[in-house]
Amino acid sequence: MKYELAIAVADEQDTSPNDQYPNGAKRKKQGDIISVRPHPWNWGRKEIDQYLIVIINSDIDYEELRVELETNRTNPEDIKNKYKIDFTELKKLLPELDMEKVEDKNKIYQPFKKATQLVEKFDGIGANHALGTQFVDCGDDSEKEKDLPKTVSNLIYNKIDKNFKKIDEVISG
Amino acid sequence: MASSRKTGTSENVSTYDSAGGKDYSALTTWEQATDNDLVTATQSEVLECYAGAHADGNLYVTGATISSSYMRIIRPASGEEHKGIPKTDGSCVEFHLSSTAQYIFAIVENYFKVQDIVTKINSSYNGGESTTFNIWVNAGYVEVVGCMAIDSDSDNKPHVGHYTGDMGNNPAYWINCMVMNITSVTSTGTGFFTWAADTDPDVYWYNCTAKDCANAAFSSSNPQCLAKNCISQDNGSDFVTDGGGAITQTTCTSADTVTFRNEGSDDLHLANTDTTANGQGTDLSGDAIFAFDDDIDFKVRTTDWDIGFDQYSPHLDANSINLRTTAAKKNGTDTENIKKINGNNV
Repeated sequence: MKYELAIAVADEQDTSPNDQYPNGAKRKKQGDIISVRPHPWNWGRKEIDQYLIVIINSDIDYEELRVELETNRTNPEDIKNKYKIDFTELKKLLPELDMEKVEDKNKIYQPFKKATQLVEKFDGIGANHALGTQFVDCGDDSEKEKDLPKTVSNLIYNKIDKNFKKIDEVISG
Repeated sequence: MASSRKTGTSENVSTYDSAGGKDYSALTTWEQATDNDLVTATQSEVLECYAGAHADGNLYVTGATISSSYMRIIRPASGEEHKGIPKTDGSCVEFHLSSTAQYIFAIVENYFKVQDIVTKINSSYNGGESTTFNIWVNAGYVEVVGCMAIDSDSDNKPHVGHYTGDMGNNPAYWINCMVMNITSVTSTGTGFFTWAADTDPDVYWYNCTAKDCANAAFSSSNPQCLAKNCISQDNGSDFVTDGGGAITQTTCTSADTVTFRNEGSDDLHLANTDTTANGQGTDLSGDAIFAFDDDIDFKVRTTDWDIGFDQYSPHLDANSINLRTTAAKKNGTDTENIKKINGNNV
């Protein structure tokens, strides 16, 4: 099965400690896995603008994977997201990945996705929600989808136990 | 007058549909895109949802810098609201608890508001009670308004409809909410439940309705609670406390004699024959804690307040009446005056 991960592209400054967050709330950091959805997924307009979508193969059941990646925060005051993607390793796996474009908030850059699938829900809606393939950068071959094999071992990092995991190991250990 | 659906100052509205085509398709991506310093930005963040049976949730709301003026809100987009009946067929904004998750919303942020959504528990989570909302860990002044929880599951796992827990010394408000059919485990199937380590937090249940909950309708384990204008009907027990908990009741009923419009169709609006709840409530439009004047259907309550989430009004729809009248002949053919009542052609 293939899944799509929405990845944070930049660090967000944490809050200062206050009464509600005595340790200071820890917000998302570059590489954090924010969401997982089955492939192909029709992401929203702001999602494809604000996150990097990474496609990965896995044998894990979707619901199990979603609950593990999106929740299971053992200390809610100290950590926002349990898993992150290592961008250095991602660059090794996809050499054409342009990190300047990934971090550029003024560009919609989604090198893993197929441009037409990325915007199919938006074309034709019109008004403020119109989004055409001409507005997104999916790399040199915009209709060639890329995905990562489930065997990659130094990509997904568990911030709680401080170990890299293969995607199928996030459930089994 | 004051609506129970409060708004934020200077709202920045984003849209949501798990089917795509809007700003966001996942709750977590919106939450983490908006956990900013809203006070410095002088902006509230709102997610307006479109109708659908959204298999989404596990949403952990925390981290935005907020105030009583600038906060985060989830509500239906205009025209996508429920009709006061907890439909689970995708016709209104519904969030369905997935098979392995514990909650749909874990709210760990002050002043967060959720309005007018339907939640369905369908979870085999086995680490404790699974629930729709979990107001949690020192979160205060959270408002859940016009929300309905229904449990169609029978997996023998513990379920709670609306949960308030461990809020420190902060209050939580449940207004015009409904829970029904929390039946999976007799000992724990509870409609509105609150727990805290101490007795200080105040939980306010105003004009809420709980029906067919196996264990209890309203239950407090330590917190001090105020229940005003609430209905408990056909539950294992009604208003239950343990530890240092207390539930002070004002014009509530647990007589099990309220007549609903159509229980078989999960329609718990008051029937026109009801005399238990109809006109028996306390006017909360000037309430010192949470003043409001509308009901589950956004209808302004009259001077004779009813008990429960619905303020009775005559119900007219295309199936119950026929006002189609032959008005005139035009070119020898009958024409009809088509009248609209409640938005329906009749």
